Amino acid sequence: MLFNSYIFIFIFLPVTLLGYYLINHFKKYSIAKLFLAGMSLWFYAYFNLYYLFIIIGSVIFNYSLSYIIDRYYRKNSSSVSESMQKIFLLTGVLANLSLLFYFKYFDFLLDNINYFFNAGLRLHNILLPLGISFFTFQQLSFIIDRAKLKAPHYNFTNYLCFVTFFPQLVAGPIVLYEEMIPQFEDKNKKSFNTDNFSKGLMFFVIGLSKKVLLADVLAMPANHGFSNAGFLDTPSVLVTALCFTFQLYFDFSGYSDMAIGLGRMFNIELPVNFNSPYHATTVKEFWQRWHITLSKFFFRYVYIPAGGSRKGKLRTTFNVFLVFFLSGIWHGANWTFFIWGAAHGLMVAFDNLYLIGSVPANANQNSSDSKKQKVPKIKLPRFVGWLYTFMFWSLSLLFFGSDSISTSITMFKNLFAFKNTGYIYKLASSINTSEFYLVNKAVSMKAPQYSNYVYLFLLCLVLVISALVIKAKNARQIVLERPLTTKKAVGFAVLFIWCVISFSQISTFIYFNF
Amino acid sequence: MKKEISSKNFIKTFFVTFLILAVLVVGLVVFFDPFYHYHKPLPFLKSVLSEKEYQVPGSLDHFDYDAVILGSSVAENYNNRWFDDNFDCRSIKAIRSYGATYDLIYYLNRAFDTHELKYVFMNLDPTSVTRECEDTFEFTGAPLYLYDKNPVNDIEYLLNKDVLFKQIPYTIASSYMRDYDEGESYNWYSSKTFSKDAVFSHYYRSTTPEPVKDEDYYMDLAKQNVALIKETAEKHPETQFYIFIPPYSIVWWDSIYNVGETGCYLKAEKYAVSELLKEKNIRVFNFQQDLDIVYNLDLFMDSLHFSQNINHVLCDYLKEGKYEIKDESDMNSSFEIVSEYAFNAAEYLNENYGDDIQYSNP
Repeated sequence: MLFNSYIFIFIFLPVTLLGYYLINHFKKYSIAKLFLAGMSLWFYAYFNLYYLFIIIGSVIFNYSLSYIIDRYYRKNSSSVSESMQKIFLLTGVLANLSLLFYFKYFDFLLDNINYFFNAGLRLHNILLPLGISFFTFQQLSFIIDRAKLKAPHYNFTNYLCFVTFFPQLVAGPIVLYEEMIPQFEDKNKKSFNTDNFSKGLMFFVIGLSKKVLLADVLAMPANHGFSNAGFLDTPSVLVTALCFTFQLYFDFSGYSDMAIGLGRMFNIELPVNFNSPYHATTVKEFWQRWHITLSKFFFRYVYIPAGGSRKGKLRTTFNVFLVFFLSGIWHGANWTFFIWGAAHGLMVAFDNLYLIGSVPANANQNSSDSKKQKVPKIKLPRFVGWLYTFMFWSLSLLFFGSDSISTSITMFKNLFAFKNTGYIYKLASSINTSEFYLVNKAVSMKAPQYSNYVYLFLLCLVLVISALVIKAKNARQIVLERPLTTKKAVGFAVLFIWCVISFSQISTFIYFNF
Repeated sequence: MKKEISSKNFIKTFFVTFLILAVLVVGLVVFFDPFYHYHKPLPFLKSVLSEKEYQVPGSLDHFDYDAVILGSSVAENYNNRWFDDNFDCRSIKAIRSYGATYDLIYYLNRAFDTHELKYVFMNLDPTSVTRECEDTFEFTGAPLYLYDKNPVNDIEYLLNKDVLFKQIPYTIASSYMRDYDEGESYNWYSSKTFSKDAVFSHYYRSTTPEPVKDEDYYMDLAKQNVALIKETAEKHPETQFYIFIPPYSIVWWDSIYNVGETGCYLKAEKYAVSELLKEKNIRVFNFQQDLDIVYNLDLFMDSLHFSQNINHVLCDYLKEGKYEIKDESDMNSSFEIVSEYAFNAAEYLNENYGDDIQYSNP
């Protein structure tokens, strides 16, 4: 079920909220959690019933392993064997990664074996279950800490809620057990809270607007550009990259805002996933602001176990590169993601050398440790840092958005061909949204010779609005820092109805496939 | 307005505003009802029919008519008025892309549910006889909320940006600002070019023709499709059916020859005609006999879609009874003519248009 669907807004959400709070009202907390998990599974199975077996299988496996670990440690509390600890750890990690590998990468592997060795292996055409990367990583974090005895064995309903809680189930944020389970256990969070609900509503509407009113419109020229890479000239490659840059942010951060908002409606706080990433002035800072929960996961479960920054500069650089390379693979089974991840790994590793770059505005406030933030030897003005970071990100997305390396190469070739064939008008005309219908129709009837200019103007308008939204305060600042007013309530209601009447359009969340 | 309010009041204001706006939008859609899901056109607006998947069900339910023009895209360019004048009736179009018989009969039954029909004019494409006899609405992504009787899923129509910002203004503008001809519903001819060059620009012949298939290849499907038509005609003996096979160009027959299906199509068509002839309330026409149309590629935009003039000519043929098949003898001589050019289509094209033909795998 999509958040931006009639069934979700008008049936699923009201029924789930009503049922959850009603059952909690009678102090049947476990039943309320089971109800919430049941509804979440319905939400998940609505995409495809077959997905349900995979997620339930994954939950049962991980929970059983946690139970076995629990039994073992209870029996051998005085003499815990290190080798058993390793066996538990390896079993958990290998099983979860195998599941992910099979569904996400197996066909990719076969395809490459066929390509490089002409093996003629038959592809399995495996259907990728939605959100498998998200719920696998969440459970992986739990089972790693469980094997290391850092996490307790929880009761089943709490664990089930942690994995299946529908707001974050299919596209994150990636939540950790220690952030979620205590909240499900907290009896103070069981009754309807108007403060949380109003904030949740605002987060949800902001996210929905980003997705439906901006990302889906920007997707039209972006998709057109990537599908017609061979025809693009220099301006149209640039505009395609720009549209995709904005689309990806509005799509993914919009989903995260909606998830955070829905969590709030249930008195559950989900972690921040985006913090105005397009304000970043270095690539390193960008990754501290973009998909924060994924970075946090890799930092905790890859970077630190691999030695972090404790083993010298070279090893630190390698560890940083490794994290970004894995992040690239995590995003999809395609060489384009490998290159994209590796490019970011190199850039962050370079930033870590502090040779040249900008100093982020809030560098000292941001540093989590007591150490003073390092400063590059050659300082660049913040605007230059921002420009290079934004341009690097946008151009790297030419890999991210292409379906193959050859398409990416075609895009780069056309970008640096420095040609203007007028294709930009064709690209602009791909924006076919009903808000512009009357303008387009009137011009095509009364002054068809100006149609191209009008298309271009409307494309620029969409880009300018997108840039202004990105420059403005982010969802968190709008919701948490500004007072509630009648004007705000009316404004949010107008945005909400505008989104709702836009549902009839085809809409796919980009991050569902990751 | 800038005074801080409590979260409770915020929620109240939010939902009340949303509700007011939602009622306003729903009210506008129900009032103008551009897909005619709830009522016929308002007295001060014309019937503006341009989106067949969305408007055929509603218009069949609510318009006033006593004749239905049934068919695929080749039937879209008929002007209802020609039928109204020729047959003294009030006609409406029920168009389904690709003309799947199952879907067309669904539309026809929908019309019979609410109307008494004097005439049914059914364009029977060769492919309508030979394709799967099953519902294709869901498979092709038709807006099912306009097809079923479930009021709950009407929300997709009632709260729909495209309806609000596109369809309603278009309906109003077409009614007042343009000389809109209501008879020209769903037509597409004005935006197309009809010429030999246009035909060949869309046609790619395979360099390696497929082996000739058994003539019975499509017979099972033909039997199912024809049975469905006959069953509907038998249920409504008071209605006069005019069923006609449209003329496709010689290029279409070349494409069929290349996939080794000429004999299969001819046998399926002949079977359909022979069976339909058995029904008292069905008159059958085979316009494939009109060689002036079949061979004149300047009348087509591709291998099968002809210009509006031909639609007009065919409508007049129906009135005159030209190319009507009344008995077995008519049928045999009709299919002899068609077989003659159908089997020789490739040779004819090679001789006359050899330089114009493009190949899909040169």
